[in-house]
Amino acid sequence: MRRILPLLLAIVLVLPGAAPVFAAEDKLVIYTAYEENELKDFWEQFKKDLPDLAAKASYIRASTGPIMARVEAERANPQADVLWGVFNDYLTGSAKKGLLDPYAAKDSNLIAARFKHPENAWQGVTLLTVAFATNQKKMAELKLPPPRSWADLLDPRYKGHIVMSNPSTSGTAYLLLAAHVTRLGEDKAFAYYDALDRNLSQVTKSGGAPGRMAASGETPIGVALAYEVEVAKKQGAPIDVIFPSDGVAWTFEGNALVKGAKNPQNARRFLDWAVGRSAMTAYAGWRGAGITRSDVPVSGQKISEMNLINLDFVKAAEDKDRLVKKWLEKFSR
Amino acid sequence: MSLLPLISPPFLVSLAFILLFGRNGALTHGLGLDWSIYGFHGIVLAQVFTFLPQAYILLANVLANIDVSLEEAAENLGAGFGVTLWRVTLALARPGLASAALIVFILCMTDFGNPILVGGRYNVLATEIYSQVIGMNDFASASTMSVVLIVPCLAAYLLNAYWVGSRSYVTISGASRAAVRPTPARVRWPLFLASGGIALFIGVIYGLIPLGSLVRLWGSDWTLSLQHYGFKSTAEGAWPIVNSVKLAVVSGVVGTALALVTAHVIERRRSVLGGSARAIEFVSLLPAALPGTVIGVGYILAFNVPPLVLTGTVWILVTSVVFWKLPVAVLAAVNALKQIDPALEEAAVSLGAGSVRTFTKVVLPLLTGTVFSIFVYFFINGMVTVSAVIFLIYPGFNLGSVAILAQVENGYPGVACALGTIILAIVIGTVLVLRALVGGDRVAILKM
Repeated sequence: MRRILPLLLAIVLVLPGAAPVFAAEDKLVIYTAYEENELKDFWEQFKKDLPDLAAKASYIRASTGPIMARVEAERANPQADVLWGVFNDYLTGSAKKGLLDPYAAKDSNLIAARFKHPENAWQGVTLLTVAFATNQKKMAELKLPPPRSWADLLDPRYKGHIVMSNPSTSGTAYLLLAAHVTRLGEDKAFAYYDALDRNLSQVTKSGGAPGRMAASGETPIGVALAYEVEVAKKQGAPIDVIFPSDGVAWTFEGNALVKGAKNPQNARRFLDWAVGRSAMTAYAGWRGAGITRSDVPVSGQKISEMNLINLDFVKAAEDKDRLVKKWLEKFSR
Repeated sequence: MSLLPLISPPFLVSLAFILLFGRNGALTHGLGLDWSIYGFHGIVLAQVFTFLPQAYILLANVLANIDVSLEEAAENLGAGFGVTLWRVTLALARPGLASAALIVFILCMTDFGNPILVGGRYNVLATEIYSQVIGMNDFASASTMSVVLIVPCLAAYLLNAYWVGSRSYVTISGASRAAVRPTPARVRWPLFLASGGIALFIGVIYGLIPLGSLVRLWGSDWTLSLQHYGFKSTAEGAWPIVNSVKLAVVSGVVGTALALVTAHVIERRRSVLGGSARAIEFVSLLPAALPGTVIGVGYILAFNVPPLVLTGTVWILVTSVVFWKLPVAVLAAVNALKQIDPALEEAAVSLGAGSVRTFTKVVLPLLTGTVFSIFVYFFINGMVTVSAVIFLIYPGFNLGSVAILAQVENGYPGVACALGTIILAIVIGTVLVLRALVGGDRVAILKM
C-alpha cells in the first residue's frame, strides 16, 4: 500500500491537467497584456459580438514580460492558444524563437505593412506613445517651466527632477532607447543618455513607475506612456501630458497564434475578431487615435499631428540584446 | 502587531514606505526634509520590517517554550538578571536566534520586490535575475545567477549549524512548566517603549493601506470616498480574493503537515540518519534561496510535461507555495522539537505506542502552539504571495495578490489599497478566530 499511494496520488494530480488533451475544442485560452481597465471594455465587446466563443474563452492578464516568459517556459506543452495585446518587440523575439504559428487574420490586409510581421507571425492592433508626464503642483512649487523637447530635458534646472525607467526591465524604456538611436544615431544617442543621466533622480525597474510617481507628486517630471498619464488624469491627478517636439517614440501591441495551440480553430476565430472593425472601435475608446487601422473613425489628438520617430521595429528587436547590454554597462551601478 | 508585515502583499510595504518617506512622502515632504528612502538605506529599512514576522515566528515559539524553572534556578543560585538572560535564556534560545538570522539573511538575498521599488540606483543580484527573466526572457543567465545566489546562502547555513552545534536545548520535559514570569521593573519600561515604538510604526505603515483605499487620490485629492470599493477598473472585481482564500487554506493544511513530518524526521531521526538528516534539513531550506521568479518559471519547466503535469490546476499553486515557504516552517518545527525532551516520546514507545500514535498523541499536543503558528504562516503566504504564482495562475483562477499588482501597475493605487484592505481584514479575522479556538495563551505568535 505504501508504494501504491504515491502512484495513486500522482495519477489523481495528473488527470485534471491531462484531460484537455483529449477533449474537443471546447476552450479558448487567451494570454493578454492589456491593462485591467481597458481589457474590461474590450472583453464586453467580445462577449457581445461572439457570445458562443466568449462562453468557452478565458484569459490570464499580466505584463508583457511575465506573459512571454510563461509562453517560453510552457513551450513543451503550450497552455495558451492566443496572445492578445502584447508588445511587438517581444512578439518579434518569440517569432524568431519559433513560439508562434503564422496566421493572417481576416481583414488584416487593412492594417498597414509597418504594423505587421512580414511572414504574418503577428499583427499589430493598438498604439502607445511616450510622453513627458508633469505634475502641475510640483512644477509650480519648484518654479519649473514645462519641458517641450528631449533637448529641454538636459537643462541643468531639471537636475534631480526627472524619473525614467530602465531599458533592461521596461519595454517602454527600451523602445525609447531604440527611438533615440534611430533619431540621433547610436553614438549621439548614448551621448544624449550620458547628459540626461546627470538630471535623473531615479531609473526605475518598472516602466509604469515614472508615470505613477508623477501622478502622486513623487517626481515633477516622469517619462511615461501617454495612456498612463490619461488614466491618472481621469482619476483627478494634477498631471499634464507633453509630447516632445523633437520626436515622439511610440510602439504597438499585437496578436498572435501560439505554436502548438490546443484550440487552433477557436484561436483563429478570435484573431479574426481582434483585428475586426468592432474590436478596433472598442480599442479606440481607450486609445483614441492609437489603433492600426486607418479606416475606423477615431477621436482625440491625431497621431499624424505628432512628430513620430520613424522606428524600424524589426531592427529594434534585433538590436535589443546589444543595446541593452551597452546601456547596462554604462549606466548600471 | 509584528505579524502585520506578513499579511499584506510584499510590495505594499515598500509602497507604504514611499507614501511616508518618498520625495513627496507624508513625513519627508511634510517636515520639509531633503532626504528620501531611495537607496541602500531604504532597502535595509524596508527589509527589516518586511522580514520581521519570519524572525518573530521563529523566536516567539522558542522563547515561549523555555522552562521558567531554569531561569528561576539560575536566580536562586545567585545569578543576576543580566547573567540569567545571557547564560540561560539566550543560550537556550540559540536555535531560534540562529535560525531567525539565517532565514532573514537568505530572504534578503533573494527578495527583489523591495529593492525594485525603493532601491533607487542600488542593484542587487535578485533584481538582476528578475531583469533577465522578465526583461530579456533569458532563462540561462537567470539560472546561472541563481546558482551563484545559493553559495552565500549555503555559507550562512553552515555557520548557523556550527553555532547551534549538537548541544541540548531541551526545556519541555516531564517536569517542566511554562508559566509567565514577571519582567523586572527596571527593564519592563524600556522594553515596552522599544516594542511599542516598533508596533506603532508598523501600525502606521499598515494603517496607510485602508486609508489609501478611502481617499480619492493619494497625494492630490484627500476627500474620503468609497468609490474604490466599486472595483470599476477591473473585470473580475474582488472575486480573485475568494481563490486566494482557497489557496491559503489548502496550502495551510498541506504545508503544516509536511513541515511537521519533515522536522520530525530531521530532528528525531538524527541519530539514525546521521549526516543525511543534515542533508534533508539543508534541502528543505533551499527553496528560500531562490527568488520567486525563478521558482515560478522553474515550476512551469518542471510540471508542464509528463510525468507530473500540474499546470492549469490548483495543485501547482499549492505545491509552489508549500515548498517555497517550507523553510521557515521547518525551522520553526525543528526548533520546537529541540525543546521537547525525547524521553517523553521514548516513554510512549516503551508503553507500546507505535511511531504514528506517539507522534499524534504525544508530540502534536505539545506542539499545538507551533502547529498553529505554522498554519497561520502558510495561510498568510497563500493570501499574499505574488512573485512565483504570477507564472502559475491559470485562466479562471486569478489571485487577489496578483489583482493588486495589476491595479498598482495600471495606475489605480486606490483600488489596489481597497483589495489590500479586504485581504488584511480576512487575515486578521482568521487569526482572531484561530486564537479564540485554540486559546491564545498557548500560541506564542497569537499573543497580542
